[in-house]
Amino acid sequence: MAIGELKTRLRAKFSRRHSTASTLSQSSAEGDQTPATPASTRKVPRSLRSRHSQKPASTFDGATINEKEPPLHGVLEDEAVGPKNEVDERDEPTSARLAETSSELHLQGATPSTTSAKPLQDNLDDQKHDSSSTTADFPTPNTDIPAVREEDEENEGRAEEGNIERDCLAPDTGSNNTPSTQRPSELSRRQSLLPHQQTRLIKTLLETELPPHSKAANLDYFTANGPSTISANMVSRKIWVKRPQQSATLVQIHEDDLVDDVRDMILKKYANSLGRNFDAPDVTLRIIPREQRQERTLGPEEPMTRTLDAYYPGGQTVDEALIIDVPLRRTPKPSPQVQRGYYDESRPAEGGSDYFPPMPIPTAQVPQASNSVPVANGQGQVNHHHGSLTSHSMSVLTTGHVPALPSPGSNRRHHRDRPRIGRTLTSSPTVIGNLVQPPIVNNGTQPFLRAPRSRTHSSASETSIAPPVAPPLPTPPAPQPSDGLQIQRVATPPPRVSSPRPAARVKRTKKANAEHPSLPTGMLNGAVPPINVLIVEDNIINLKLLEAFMKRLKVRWQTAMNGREAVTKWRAGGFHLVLMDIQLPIMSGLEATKEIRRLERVNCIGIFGSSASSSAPEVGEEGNGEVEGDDRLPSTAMFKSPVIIVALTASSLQSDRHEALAAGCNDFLTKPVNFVWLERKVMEWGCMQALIDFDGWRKWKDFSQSTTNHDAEKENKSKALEKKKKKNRASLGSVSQASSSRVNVAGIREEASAVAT
Amino acid sequence: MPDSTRREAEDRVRDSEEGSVSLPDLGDSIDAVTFEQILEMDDEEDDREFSRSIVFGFFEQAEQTFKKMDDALKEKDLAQLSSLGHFLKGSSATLGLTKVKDSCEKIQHYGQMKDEEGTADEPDEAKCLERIKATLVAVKEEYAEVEKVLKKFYGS
Repeated sequence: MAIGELKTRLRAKFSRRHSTASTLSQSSAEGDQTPATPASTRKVPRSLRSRHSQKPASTFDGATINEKEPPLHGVLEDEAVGPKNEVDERDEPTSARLAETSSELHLQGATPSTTSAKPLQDNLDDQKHDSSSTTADFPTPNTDIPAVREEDEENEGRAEEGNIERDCLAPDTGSNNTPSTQRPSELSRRQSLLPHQQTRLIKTLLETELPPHSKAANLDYFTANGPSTISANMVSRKIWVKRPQQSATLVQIHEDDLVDDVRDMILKKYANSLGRNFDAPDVTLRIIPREQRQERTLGPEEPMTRTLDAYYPGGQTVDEALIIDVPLRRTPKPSPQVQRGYYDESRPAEGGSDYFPPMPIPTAQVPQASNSVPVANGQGQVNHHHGSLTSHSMSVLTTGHVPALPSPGSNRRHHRDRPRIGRTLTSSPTVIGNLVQPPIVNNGTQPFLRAPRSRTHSSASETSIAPPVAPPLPTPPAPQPSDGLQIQRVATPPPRVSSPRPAARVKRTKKANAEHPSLPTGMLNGAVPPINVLIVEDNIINLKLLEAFMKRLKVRWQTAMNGREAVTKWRAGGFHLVLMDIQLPIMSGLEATKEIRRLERVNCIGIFGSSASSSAPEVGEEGNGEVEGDDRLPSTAMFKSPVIIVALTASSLQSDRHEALAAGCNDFLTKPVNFVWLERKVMEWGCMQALIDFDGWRKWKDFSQSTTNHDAEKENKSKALEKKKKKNRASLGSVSQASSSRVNVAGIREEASAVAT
Repeated sequence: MPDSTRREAEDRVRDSEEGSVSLPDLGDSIDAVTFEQILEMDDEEDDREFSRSIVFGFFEQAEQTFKKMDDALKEKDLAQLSSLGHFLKGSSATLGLTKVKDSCEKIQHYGQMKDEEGTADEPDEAKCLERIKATLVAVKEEYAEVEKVLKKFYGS
């Protein structure tokens, strides 16, 4: 970058300093001239340029015109609070939001209003805290952007490096504003621009949550101002709530929040016990006044904090927690809260500190109710970044999916393509009686990923609550549509289109990304994984119909007319799915099911060892010698996992259903069997089995394709160990972001086998 | 009785709403959705080979089962009656022959010495046999009705 340009920008910066509000909007409007501080110049103009690329571009513009998601954050912050050492806080998340904002401001032209600027400030401050509190753990998302790398400018190094370094050293080449010596001169100015409450807020947060080094860097700055800057009113506060006869908990609310908003927050807090079953309007809050007065139910329209202050002068104590009441009758369907949890599955907890710290989470973002839509929009992007970068350790348990750990050098852009582990839309009860499958089944049935709360003051929720006054941003955040896509993909079965050959297996994680677009097609075609189904049905009419249906689904099937025959056929192995009529002659479906489950147990099918891939040694599963003659299965190689048994019955009795599930059936269909349902079941269970019995599936595929790739098989075997390692690594994260859920399941399986061996 | 007639009326209304355009005359004893999904399995709509084989196979099966039921009734074999009721219930449900299916389920329950719904025990054996006898008459009528409709549909 030429020195001359730098000068120009510096000049621009200082001239613009006179009026923050106007420059704020002006800078947005005049994108290409924006440079306000050297620290931010690069980013801001780029961002604006990307939005207003039709503007005449300077040479500087020309160099960076291809920037896609530039941080705008920087310039706004600089304009608002003056340059200082918080360069690191020009985080991309905010920039994305502000980039949206910029177009808004652009429309307003040169007549900026302070009202529009203020919310931005709020956002900035919140964001500031947010990013600074997590900088130690996370490389700046700027590295996401390949374009940044391509530009070899002097600030490049900084963008690539961690925030820590920026925080401490502020290596801003050619800039006069970052060194700490500058700070005192900026001090007063900064204060004048910040609402007192915000100052207090920032101070509090920085002190408590900043990593030590950055804390040291910032502390002197704030301590200089002393306690005088602490306003009595914090932007947000916490209130005590509790359910009747239970212990109280703190809920963070905004100063302006109505009781209605508080209900939202309560549902988030009680995401599990209440959030699953109740909507916010279901919840009522009771307040119990101090002086033996009549307790009262709060109306949704009452301002929360004022009410509390009125009732509890001097502050609410734990014992004065508001009582949360919910109706006795539970809402039958999952509340929107649950849905929300599902869509934001990887949403981390509020705040960086929580009960399960190993997977650090920078923000917790819960889309707010309509009163803060603008923020939710902007924040959606913020959250998307952070949420995708990291995942909660708890999520590993609940989904069986190990999230990728962000590494500074990696290009994390692909995180958008990471498929979420989805929920199938069946309401059928699901019982799985083995050790391998539960994680997978959880994927299907665990709709809500609990987001543990932070005990400390959370910046993220702060952000989401703070600016109800923010100007509406009509533009939806960019990542949202891709979110939707991900959800769609989740429902996609393992693709037949990918036709995984043995040789390609190791590379598959990389390929998965590219394969994605073609997946939905497979589903639309009604493709069902090539599984083997055993139809057990004594009624010839039903049998013929089911056979015809299997034929149409193009899956292999065999039939059995009674329970004994079913067990016999099952013993030959190779079945993935059993459609089991319950009432059968000779041996009932329930007895047959129990017998199959028993045999599976004694032959250790589905226990780690035998569920492993073909590369795993198949000694040991029978090696204990406990399996006696008749019970011993001819070849456990044919039994990769416990068979899925779907009970079929014309009975409308609930007790029959329970009996079937208790006997060991996984699922239940009522006659007349709806073929759409049946296809879905075959798809669901078949996909799962195809995942588990991946080798069998592959053989089938290979056979059916009669490929000539014989060498690949050998190669596959020789690579078995290496593969396993790779798989494990993949499932642990570094690559698996791009991989499909199919790969994840495979990874889990491999992992299980690795554990067993 | 008034209750059941009302239900029939409701069924008729519902069926007329759900009834597909292509199959206007299946009557109210047949669940259109269920039956149609069998018709969809036909490769060609002209001869309807598959669904025809299913339906006519069911006729055969039903008549055999009714005969067995009559025999079992004579022998007062409740267990056998229950089993036969369950058997026919399965196929009639598959074809969407709602009424036949419901009656078969009743027979199944009576044969288990339970009440109509299969929830409460009915200790009186003679009562159960009496009920089965009545239900068997009803189910035969219901079957005759659907048989007529279906045979008409298949043009034979």
